[in-house]
Amino acid sequence: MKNTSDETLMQQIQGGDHQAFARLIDRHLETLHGFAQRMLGNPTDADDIIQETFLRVWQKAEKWQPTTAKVSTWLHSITHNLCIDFYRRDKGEMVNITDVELIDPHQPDDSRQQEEVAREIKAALQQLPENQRSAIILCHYQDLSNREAAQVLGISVSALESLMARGRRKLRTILQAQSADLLGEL
Amino acid sequence: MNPQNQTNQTVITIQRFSQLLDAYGGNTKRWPSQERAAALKLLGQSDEARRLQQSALALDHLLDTVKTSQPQTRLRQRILAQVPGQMKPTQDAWQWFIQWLIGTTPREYLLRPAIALVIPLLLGIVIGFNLVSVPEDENSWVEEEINLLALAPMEQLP
Repeated sequence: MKNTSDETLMQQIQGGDHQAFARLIDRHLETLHGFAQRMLGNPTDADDIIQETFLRVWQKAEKWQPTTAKVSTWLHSITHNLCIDFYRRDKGEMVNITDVELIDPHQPDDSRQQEEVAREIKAALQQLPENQRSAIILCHYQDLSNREAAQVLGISVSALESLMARGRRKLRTILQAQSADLLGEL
Repeated sequence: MNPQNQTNQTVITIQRFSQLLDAYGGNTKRWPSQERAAALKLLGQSDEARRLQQSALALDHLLDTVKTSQPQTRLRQRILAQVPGQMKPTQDAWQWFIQWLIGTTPREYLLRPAIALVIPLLLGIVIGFNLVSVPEDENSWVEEEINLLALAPMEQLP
């Protein structure tokens, strides 16, 4: 049972199997939650997005076809669309990560410095245009192949490459402007 | 992707190699599978390719410092609870009651404890009213009995 493929689970879900649905959640919850966190910048909003993602999986299960997309790609597509909707709807009220994540003064210097770096990278990612950010997150953090990432974004592979190259270039520019020490090597 | 540079071919130009790094970064596992072998071959042969890769890896390492937090276990319960006709996540009645009382959304965090406080209050008011009205009912019943008893001998008079 443990080796049941995602595709088989989806077919069982299409038949109304709650156990299969629970197993699909267990298998993908963490990955998709990480994706939503990176897209939106905070875990609280990610909770709502992921809850909605899986509700849609249950409601729209019959729309998934094994020939059109891998299950993980389809799940990323749903999460991505919800994140974009959320981002566009609440863009004016997005939480500024640098405001809410305070650094613990009792931490060792190395650890604090690393958190500082991570905070700057997060903030820089949030400054990217949404399609560039999506492309980088899908390929770098979610480990999707270029074809899968392109499918999630509904673009060609060459367009995906272009987005990622522009995104990474912009990240370097932002980070170099923020901290010369941080990016001395870039 | 430039078709000239796509490889089912065995050779990749330094220009295409640079484009790959710009897009996918320096970690070879993220390179497109169809071009990876040719890119690795060039990497083994060219100092320039290695220098470009090191530069790309520097940004990769910075990106890798960003971690995410684990989803809370109650998120799974929230998801399962919203599906119609779902099996309930396994928990005993007490756990279910506590979970219900706490709620699962920010709105419920406030509403559920408030409801839990208001329900006993309303019950107390209802019970209180009933207790007050019981003696009145009893009195009227007793009075009715006395009247009947008082009338009975008269009815038996010849």
